[in-house]
Amino acid sequence: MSNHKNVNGRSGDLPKTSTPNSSQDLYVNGELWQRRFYDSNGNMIKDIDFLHGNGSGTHTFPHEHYWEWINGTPVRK
Amino acid sequence: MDGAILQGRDIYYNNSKIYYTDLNVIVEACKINTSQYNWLITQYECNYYPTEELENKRHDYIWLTGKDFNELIQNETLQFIWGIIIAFPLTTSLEDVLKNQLPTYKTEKYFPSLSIIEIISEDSSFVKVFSNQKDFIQNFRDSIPEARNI
Repeated sequence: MSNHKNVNGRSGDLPKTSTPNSSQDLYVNGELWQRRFYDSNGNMIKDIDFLHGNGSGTHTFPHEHYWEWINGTPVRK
Repeated sequence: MDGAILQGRDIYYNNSKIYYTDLNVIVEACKINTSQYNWLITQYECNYYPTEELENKRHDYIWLTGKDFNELIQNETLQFIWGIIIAFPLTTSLEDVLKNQLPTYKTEKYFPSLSIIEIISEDSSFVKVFSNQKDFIQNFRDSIPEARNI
């Protein structure tokens, strides 16, 4: 995957903006938790969650979330 | 405690589509006077962080007066993608609360003998509200028809 990088961190650590048309994977304690995609402006537009460390256990994986930018602020749908 | 859950993609409040989780909408729907309580917010993740403190404590907790809580949730488009948000009477101190384990998402109804209302936002997918004060839950359901009992 071009323009892709891996990040080690904690939940919520992936940046909101990055290189245009790129993606990042978040690894927490060695496990893939989230992949984030950035649009042609470098704004995050989509997450794929592979795992949650918290949560009530009712989620299925992987699942997707989309981001909408409203007046410069990202809102997660 | 009575409880309600809000789940789904097309949720409307006052004829406007709302996103998970605008706390201002949730507390307004419950008709809770937020300034009369202290607020614990823990295990949270926001779409953005209006203050450095809010960002730095996202894996821990913040304790807010009603005034500070109101200022926080007045931030337009601030969204608690994840968050456990609990109101306590002003007579309940942070020390009282910390005598218990901090809440996690694995359980719910965390402080049934102490809290006024407990709001759980999970993965921008659903919101649960619990309270011993039935009016808050009823108001929530009346204000947002998509909310249902749990």
